[in-house]
Amino acid sequence: MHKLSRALVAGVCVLSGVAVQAESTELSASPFGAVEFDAAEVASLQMPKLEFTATPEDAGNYDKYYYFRRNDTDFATAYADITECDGYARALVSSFKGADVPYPYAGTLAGAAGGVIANAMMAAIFVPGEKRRMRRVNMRQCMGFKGYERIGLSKELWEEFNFEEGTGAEEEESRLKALKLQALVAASAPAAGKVLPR
Amino acid sequence: MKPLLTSIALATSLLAVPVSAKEKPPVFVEAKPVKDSKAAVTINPAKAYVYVRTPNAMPLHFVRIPSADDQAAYEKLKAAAFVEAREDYEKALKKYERDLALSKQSSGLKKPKKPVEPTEANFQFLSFGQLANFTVGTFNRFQSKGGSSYLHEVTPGTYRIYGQVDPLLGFGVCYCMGSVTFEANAGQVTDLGSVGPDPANSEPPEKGDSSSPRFAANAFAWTPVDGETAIDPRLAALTRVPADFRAAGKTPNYMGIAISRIPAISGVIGYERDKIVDLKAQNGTALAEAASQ
Repeated sequence: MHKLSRALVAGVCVLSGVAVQAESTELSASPFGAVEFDAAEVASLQMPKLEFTATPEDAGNYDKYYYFRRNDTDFATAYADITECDGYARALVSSFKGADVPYPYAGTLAGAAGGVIANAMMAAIFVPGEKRRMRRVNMRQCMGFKGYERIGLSKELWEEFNFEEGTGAEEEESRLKALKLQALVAASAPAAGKVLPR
Repeated sequence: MKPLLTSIALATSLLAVPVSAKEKPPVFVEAKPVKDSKAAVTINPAKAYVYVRTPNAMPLHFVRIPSADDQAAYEKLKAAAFVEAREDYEKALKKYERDLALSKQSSGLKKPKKPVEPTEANFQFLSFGQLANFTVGTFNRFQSKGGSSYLHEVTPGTYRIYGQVDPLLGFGVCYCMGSVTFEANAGQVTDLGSVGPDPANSEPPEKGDSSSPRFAANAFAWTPVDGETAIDPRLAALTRVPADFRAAGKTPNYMGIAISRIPAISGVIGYERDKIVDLKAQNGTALAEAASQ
């Protein structure tokens, strides 16, 4: 297993929104902890197809369908970046720590104070379309801060390695697979296509 | 309905059962607005006060940084919740085993789903900040005519500016990717300066760009107090101190809202891409090095 060294707060934020964020010497560390990946699995990933002839309809949907890329970025860095951004963009932040199923506490005090209120409100306020839009907003904001370019893509190609979250959360396994493919694209896609506003 | 509605108060009001039948859950932060009045403000020497100027009525959310005592109380709370979760699990497991046995006896019954066992590794509990926070605004401005400001009485301590959000409304902007902390000490007004649109990020999004962060996740600029900053005459007789802002790291988006970061503040916090630069620490180091030479 290849362990990323960028995120140094493992053990502090073991699970999303779970532990108190102790003072870190690394202010810029991901609040979701370190991410790990299997180097062999990554080596077997197939680079998604990005070449297409854009139609006016494609160009009109670039606010929904795009990919990120950045020069001089390796897969490990891109994967750490994209999983951190996914952490901010999913409805409720969750762990990236692997196999353990998170056990959300829904008991007396805790349930009342935060998660339950937030969940109920989010469900009431955000219809699925709005949730999908907010995910895009947060991914763009986060990856934009990190200096990634945003390149337009056709919906058909986009769907091959991306997912949307409206009514429910993406399954963890397919989520991580998609994030790895997005990281592969972010690290290896050539500088081509129109760079869109962040 | 009383205007004072901090999230902690709401949390307390919603408790069906306390953490333990014998124990009251801790209240980490108490906060209430100081109302707009013509009279000079009288302060409680045991409380801290935070003052902030805003362009209009808006919410601002603050989370407490745990003291050693807070941390100990939080750990105790978490441990109690874990015990409760384990007890719930044991009950759920027994029910599961009963239902499973029944489902094997009758072909018409659906196989039950096995409950997830809570362990120390997978147990999700609220962050301290979700239990210890306060919100300024949107209502109860200290000044609403000829300017706009909020004055809040709060539990003394260190706080992080979490973002432009009222958790009760559930939408706003989290300064998840960088913010500042400040100390609010008892018996004085900590002046947070002014909040307003960020000139460096005020352009509207392109037409049709539905996912632009420019509008949906627009963070306001914070301008610390300086010699030119006007002071509300009602605060003139009080001990006022400019907030000593310190760069703070990233934090989870536990409200599930739009994310951003506090814009750079000269001498306090800056950014290199998403790397947070603690300018105050850098300046302190530079001064210390200069003094040692």
